[in-house]
Amino acid sequence: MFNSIKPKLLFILLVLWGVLPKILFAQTPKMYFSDTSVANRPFAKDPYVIFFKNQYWMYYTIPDEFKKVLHIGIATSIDLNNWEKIGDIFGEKGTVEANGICAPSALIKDGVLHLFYQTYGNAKLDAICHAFSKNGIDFERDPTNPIFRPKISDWSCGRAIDAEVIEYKNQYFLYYATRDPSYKIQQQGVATAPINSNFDRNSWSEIPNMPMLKPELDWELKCIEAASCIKKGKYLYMFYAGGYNNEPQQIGVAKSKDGIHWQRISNDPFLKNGKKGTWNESESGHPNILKAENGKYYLFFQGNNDKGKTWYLSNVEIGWNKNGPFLKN
Amino acid sequence: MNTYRKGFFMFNSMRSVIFNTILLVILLSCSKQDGTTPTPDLPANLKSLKLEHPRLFLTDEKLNQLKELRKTDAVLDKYINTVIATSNSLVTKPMLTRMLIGPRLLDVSRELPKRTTHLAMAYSFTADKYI
Repeated sequence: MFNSIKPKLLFILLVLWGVLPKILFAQTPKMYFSDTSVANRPFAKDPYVIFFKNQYWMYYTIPDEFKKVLHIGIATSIDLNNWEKIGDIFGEKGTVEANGICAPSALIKDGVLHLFYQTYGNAKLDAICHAFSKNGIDFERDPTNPIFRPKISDWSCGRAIDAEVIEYKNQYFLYYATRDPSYKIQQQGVATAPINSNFDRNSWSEIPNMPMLKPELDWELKCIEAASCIKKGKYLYMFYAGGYNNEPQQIGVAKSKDGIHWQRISNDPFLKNGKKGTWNESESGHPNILKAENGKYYLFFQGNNDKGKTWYLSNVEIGWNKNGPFLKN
Repeated sequence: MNTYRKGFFMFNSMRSVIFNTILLVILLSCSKQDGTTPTPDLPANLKSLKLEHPRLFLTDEKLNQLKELRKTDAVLDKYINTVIATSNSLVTKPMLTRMLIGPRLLDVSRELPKRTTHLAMAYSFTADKYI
C-alpha cells in the first residue's frame, strides 16, 4: 500500500517544489525598478529607454526628497531588466525649468543623444524643452527653451506635456498631451519639424485640426497622454496611456499611416492594470515602446499597488501579428 | 493592587479622551474652508474671528513665513527636512487599526498624533498629497 503511494507523494512534492516558487514570487516581474534616492519611498515614473554607446539608457521621473520638485533620473542596463542608477538631471534654476522637469523622451541623431522633456509645476504654462548630450549624462540646454507649446485655442489651454519625438516619413513628429480649455480633458496633439531640423523652437509647426486623439472609450475616462510611437510595417503604432494616474491608468494602442490620423486597434486596453494583490493593481501606465538590439520588442511602463504612494517601472515583451502588437506570455 | 490597576486604566482612558479632544481641535483647525461655505452669522464678540483655515496654530501666513525663512535658516530647514523624511517613511506604512495589546491601546494612541502632525506638516511644505 505505502509502496504504491510513496512514488505518487514524491511526484507531487517534486511538482510543488517546481511550481511553488513561481506562485510565491509571481508578484514581482523580471524588471522591477524604482529609484531609492528618497529613503523609504521608492519612486520612478515615465520611463524612456534607448540604446546608446553599447548599453541601454533609461531616463525617468523622480522627485527630490525634501521639496518634491521633479527631475529626471538616469539608469543604465545591458539586459533591460537590471538597472543601475548613474545620474540625475535637475531643472535649471532661474529658467522655465525651475519648478521641475519630467517625462523625458530621447532620440539619437548624428551620434548625439537628444532629450525632450516637459517642465512641471507651472500648470497651463508647462511646455516642452530640449537638451542634448554626447555622453548621455551631461546635457546642454537648447537656448530657445521651451521649444514647444500649442497655441491657446478652443481645443487646448496651451499646455504641453509628455513629449515623444520620432522620425517618420522624412520629418520629425513631436507628439504631446495637452488639456482642453477647461483643464479637465487630456488629449493628444502633434507638431512636425523638417528632417534637417536642430529641434529648436523655430523648427516646429503645429498641425491643424487637433486633437489628434481624445478620450472616447470608457476605460480612457478623461485622459489620453504619454504617446510612445514605433514604426512597424506600413504603420506607425502609438502606445498611449488612458485615464489619469491610478484611476487606473491603462495602456492602449492606435495605428496611423501618416502619423496624424489615428485608428485604435481595439476598444479594450492593450495592457490593463494588474489584478488585486499584484504589484500594479493601481495602474499600468505611461508606456514606452522599444525595439531592442536583439530584435525583440519591449513595452516599458509604470505601475504601483498603493494609489501612487510608490512607483515602479517594469517591461513586458510584445510580439506582432497581422492585427498589430500582442502581449507575449 | 486592584485599586491601583483600576486607577491606572481610568488614567489611561481619561488621557485618551483628552488626547482625542486635542487632536480633534487640531484637525478642525487645519481643515480647509470650502469656498462655497456660507459665512456664519457670528455674535459680536467673534466678529474679528479669522474665517479661513487653518486658523489656530499654523496659519497660511505663518507657513509662508516659514517657507521663506528655511531658505536662510539652516537649522529650520533641517527640522523641516526631518519631518518630511519621517513622513516619507510613514506614508508607506499600513493604516492604524484599533488593535488592543491586552487591555491597552496606548501604542496606537501615540502613533496616531505622531503620524497626523508629521503628515500634515509635511504636506503643508511639499503639497505631496500622499504625505
